[in-house]
Amino acid sequence: MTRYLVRRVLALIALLFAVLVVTFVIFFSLQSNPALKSCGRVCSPERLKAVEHKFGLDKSQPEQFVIYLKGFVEGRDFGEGDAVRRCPAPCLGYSFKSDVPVLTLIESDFPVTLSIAVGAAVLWLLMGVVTGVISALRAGTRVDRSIVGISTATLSLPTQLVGYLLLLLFCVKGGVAFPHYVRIADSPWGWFTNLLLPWITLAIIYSAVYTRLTRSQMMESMQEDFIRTARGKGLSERKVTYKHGARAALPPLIVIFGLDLGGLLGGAFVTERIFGMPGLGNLAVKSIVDLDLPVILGVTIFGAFFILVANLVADIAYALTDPKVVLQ
Amino acid sequence: MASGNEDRPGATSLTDAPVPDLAVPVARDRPTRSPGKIALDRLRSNLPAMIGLAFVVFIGLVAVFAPQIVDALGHPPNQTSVDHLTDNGLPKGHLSGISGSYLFGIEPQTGRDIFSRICYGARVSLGISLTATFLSMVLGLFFGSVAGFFPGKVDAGISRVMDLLLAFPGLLFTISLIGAVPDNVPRPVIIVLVLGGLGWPYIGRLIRTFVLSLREREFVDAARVSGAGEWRILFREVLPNLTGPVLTYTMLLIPGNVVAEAALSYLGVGIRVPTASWGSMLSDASAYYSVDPFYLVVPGLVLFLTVFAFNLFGDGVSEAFNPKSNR
Repeated sequence: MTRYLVRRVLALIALLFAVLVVTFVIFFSLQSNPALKSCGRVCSPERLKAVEHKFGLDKSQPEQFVIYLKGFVEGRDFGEGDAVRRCPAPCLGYSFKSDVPVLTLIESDFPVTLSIAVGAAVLWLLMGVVTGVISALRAGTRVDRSIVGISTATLSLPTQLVGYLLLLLFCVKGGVAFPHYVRIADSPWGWFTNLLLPWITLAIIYSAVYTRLTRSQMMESMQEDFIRTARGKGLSERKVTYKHGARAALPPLIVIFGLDLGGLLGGAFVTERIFGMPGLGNLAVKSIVDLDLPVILGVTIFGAFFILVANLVADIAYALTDPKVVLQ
Repeated sequence: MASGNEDRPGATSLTDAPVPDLAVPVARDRPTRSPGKIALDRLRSNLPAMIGLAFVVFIGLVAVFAPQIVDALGHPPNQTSVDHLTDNGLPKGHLSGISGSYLFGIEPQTGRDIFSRICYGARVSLGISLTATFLSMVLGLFFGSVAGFFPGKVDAGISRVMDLLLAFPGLLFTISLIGAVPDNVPRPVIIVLVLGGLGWPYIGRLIRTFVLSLREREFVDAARVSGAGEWRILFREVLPNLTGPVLTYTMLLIPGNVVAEAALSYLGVGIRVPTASWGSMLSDASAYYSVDPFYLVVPGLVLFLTVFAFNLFGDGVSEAFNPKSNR
């Protein structure tokens, strides 16, 4: 197990490095010069040179990459003379556009995305698993058919339609205040109420997948021989269902849940935009429009980190819940 | 059974091997049916799936014949006019100014015909989705099954590439890639390549997991003992078991890509103006959702119905090929 973990963590670091290299190469092969964006309207050649020098864009690409990596490991200094600023490790550089350290930008926007993702995940997991189990245990009945029908429909809903209709219903017509992000430290209740609409939007769309997956896994596991054995040795139907049936149905759900949550932590793009939440997705889209390279790199690495960690956690959880799987 | 040490794909298959004499007596009054035929019959008798298929075909026809349909029933999709707009740019009348001339209403500010844009949008949305799906499925099926079946270096190599691609934050990377490509490459081509090229590892991993467990099953041992080669076992014994999952995930991926195109256009990196796609229409409409909600509902509903239809049909396909998990 320890060996497995060490190997996986090393692989994770290697993958993050690969993601960094690929992203770096793609964005430096852009034909337009990122320095132009922060040079201002009236951009003289001298000023452009100065901006390029300030961001280190006058050096060759491999050199820039090495400097970037060094900054990540041991921090780096920006500017010259009196204007020198220290960017401590792990330094992801300064935004070309706003001149703020990338890490500061991410630190300020990540709690928004985290709040949206975790709250929505709790909601969709609850909705999905409960309806899925009910559906599987009543397979073929009217209840089952309506759950399957409704989940197929909600699965097909475009996020934008759900989000804007909720806004229209509750805020435009219903007189509820339009949601804006409130920090949980400032007001836990305000945080909760303002995030309800984004949570519901995401949960409506995501939970259907879990309903269907729980249902099919549960139905499959309830047909296995070990269920017959469990019944045969006289266990109560309750125990057979929840201890043997549900347990066997669990592992694939954990994996999908890990992937979904990890993906969402990198930014809930559409939902953030609908509800005007200043999360990582919002930051990413802005930085791509502005060709703000350090921010794009930072957000990509950050998102990749969550996906990889979620993956690792999901694999470990899979092995812990499925006795047939041995980690090696 | 497959005899001897044939390892060429397509030499003899289990199904057309001669039936030995000890076969169980079959009722002769009914013709025997192949598993594929049984699945098709099952699909045909599934009403929701057939309704889904009918709608998919209908939308497909709308996409193909969009110019003719718009000629007969609408106005050119990019033709602007202020004739039917009020002074503040909103369409006159109820429900986005719906009328016999403007079947789905009029776009605010520009006065373009929403019906025409929906018809032409079908071409873009479906075209992108189908091509990207095809690309992902071909790549995913090939690399996933090879990785699952050949342990060791091959699996490790393919799995690392899939891991790398899966490690990228999907939508973010799609957006940044599309943003990074020079402007002279047509947008639909970029979107197809990026969606298709980034979408296959997900399928590949699923296929790999299936193959990984199928590889340990008795019928594979049986084929191996009877002398079949590895590639033959993979393509003739293992992969046919995946028809169900492959069709099912294809049917999941198509609507997924329709939605992805809509998300890209909504975030500002999709189809360029003035070309209509359902996603770009949804994006345009989002600015007016509080004053002209019908404009948002039209592309939203079309997108929903199309995705729903694909999902209904996909469920039918999945049930037909995998009756173990049926309703």
